[in-house]
Amino acid sequence: MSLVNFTTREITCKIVYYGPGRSGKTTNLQYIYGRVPEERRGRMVSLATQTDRTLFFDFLPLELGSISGFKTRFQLYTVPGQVYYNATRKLVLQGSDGVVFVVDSQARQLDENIESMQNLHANLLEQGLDIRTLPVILQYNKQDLPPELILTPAELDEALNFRAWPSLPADAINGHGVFETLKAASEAVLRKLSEERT
Amino acid sequence: MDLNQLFRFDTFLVGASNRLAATAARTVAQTPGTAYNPLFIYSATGLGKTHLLMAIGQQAKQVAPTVVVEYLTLEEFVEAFHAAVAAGQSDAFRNRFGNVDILLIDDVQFLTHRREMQAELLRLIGQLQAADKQIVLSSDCPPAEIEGLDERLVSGFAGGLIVDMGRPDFETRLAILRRRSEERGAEFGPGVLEAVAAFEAANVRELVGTLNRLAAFQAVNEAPLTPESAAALLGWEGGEAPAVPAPPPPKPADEFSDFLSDVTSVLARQVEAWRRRVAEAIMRWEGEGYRTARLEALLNQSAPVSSEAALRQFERDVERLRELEAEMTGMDPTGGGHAAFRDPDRVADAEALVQRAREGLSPPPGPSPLWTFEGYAGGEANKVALTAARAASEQPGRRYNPLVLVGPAGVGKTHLLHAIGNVLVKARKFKEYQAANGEEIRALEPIDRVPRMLQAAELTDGLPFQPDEVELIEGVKEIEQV
Repeated sequence: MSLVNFTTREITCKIVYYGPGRSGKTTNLQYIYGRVPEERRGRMVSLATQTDRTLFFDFLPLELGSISGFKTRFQLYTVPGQVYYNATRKLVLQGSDGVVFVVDSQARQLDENIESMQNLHANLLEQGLDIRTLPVILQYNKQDLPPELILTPAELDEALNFRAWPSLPADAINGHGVFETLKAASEAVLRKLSEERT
Repeated sequence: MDLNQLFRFDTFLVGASNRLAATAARTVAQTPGTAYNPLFIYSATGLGKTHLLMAIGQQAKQVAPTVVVEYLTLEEFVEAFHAAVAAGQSDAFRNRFGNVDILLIDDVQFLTHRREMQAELLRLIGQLQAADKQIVLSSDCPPAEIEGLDERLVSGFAGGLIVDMGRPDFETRLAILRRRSEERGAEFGPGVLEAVAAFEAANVRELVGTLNRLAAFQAVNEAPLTPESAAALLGWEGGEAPAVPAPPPPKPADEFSDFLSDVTSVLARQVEAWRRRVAEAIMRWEGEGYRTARLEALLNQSAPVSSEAALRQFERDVERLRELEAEMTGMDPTGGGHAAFRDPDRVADAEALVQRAREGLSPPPGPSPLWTFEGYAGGEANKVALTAARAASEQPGRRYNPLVLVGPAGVGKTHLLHAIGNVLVKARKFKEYQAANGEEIRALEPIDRVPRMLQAAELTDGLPFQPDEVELIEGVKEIEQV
């Protein structure tokens, strides 16, 4: 996907929220949706099962208006976390400019986090995206849970963040860390502007 | 002037009426000289312009402590200028302001009719912009409404960002009251602040003043205020508070504005300055309805280009189109809508259109030079008409007025009219053609005292007498009498 198009003077950033099932990806998008003025957001498309877990994907377009003379829009996607929807994940990952990996901080979910991270690596590789250059932000979600149930950001960094990506603690259901994560992802993506001109 | 430490972004309450201004202010504070330059904020008095200006200065200093910020009101700016001029230190004045990183000038509405100050400010803005230094101005009205403001300043301001701030809405008023109450340590009973917020104060100062009155009253009275007693105290009609709307849901922190501001400043750093200037110019001119193909082509260049000359040329072309369109509209109100007037690449077409319109407005062609008295075949049948026509051409408006020539087709009526016209045109243009020696006629003398050497056989030929100069006139009179 072209990040910046000088002919149409548009900057479009596709950010994909990745992570294991029930880690809080859709919650992130819902929180953002609730804080964006109506005229700035498109319809949030969310296809979910009856148990509210994302079956296909969520899509939230954000129109930021003209910035530095460029119509700037963000497209936020989530992927279905469940292992068996890998085809959908690959599809959503196509053309992404950055990834927010939403980690479920619960200690008992560590394996799922690791598995999902491996899956991200594999899928990016398959898409021809270089994980060493693609902006990735780790969000350690559910940090509001009792300490005995969760791993600290430092422990999660140790377990998952061997590439030293930026990582942020969050409590997406209450909104803590949601916009901070989005900002970090946006900054990382936009910094690549000078490298990925069309 | 020192920045008031209380005027920071975290003490500025953002609501729907001032969100854009606050976001723009944050952006310029984080990336001075790049995003919106100049930033022009206007609003009625007491709505937070000074607060925002000072907050920009403080935030910028936090981001980069070495940044040089100068805040002053226009009056102070004028004073400094006059003092410098009086002391013969104009250069020191220019150095002082030319070396700042962020220049914040409050109350620029007082530029009205101050041509000298306007010129100085124009020069300074140009100098600072060229060095990517930030300028922020505030006023109580938009630039176009500042009386007697130089057009170049108006368009210069429009080249940056002009934002306004409105009166705070209910939610913002309530948030202001709550924060100010907390700061004062004043506690009010349920519904009191909502009742005060429901009163549409003209500005924040008035709102805070109202709160101060209530706080002072409550401090000396034991009984806590109720919404009704507060309303009575404030002298609202009937002693009753305006209807208190249901308390609004708790307002979330303005995270989106922060996010937007963040993205804006990142983009301002990432997009090359020349490309940003071109893109912003496209946005501006497109917004004003002009075609921007030339600038779009420039934007698509992969290598950095010197955009300044191209932008200036584009602006000059737009100015020319505006002049031409205005002229066209003056001649033909329907002619101004032509597409050529909206395309700076078609200035030549627009010039041609106007030229054609000008030609259409020219006076009708003059008399044909082929049809003169000399070429008119006189005879008995047309003698009276010919003589009268000559007389009318010699003394237009005085003899035979109106002169009516009657006769069947083909006897020379049109010829005579052209002949009269030719004499008149020559007389009128005599001086224009520089046939005269250029001196004004200083005195008029009676005709009978001036030897007349007309030598104009056509005037006398065919007459039943050979009059001298004076008798010619008499002779014509005789004809009249006949």
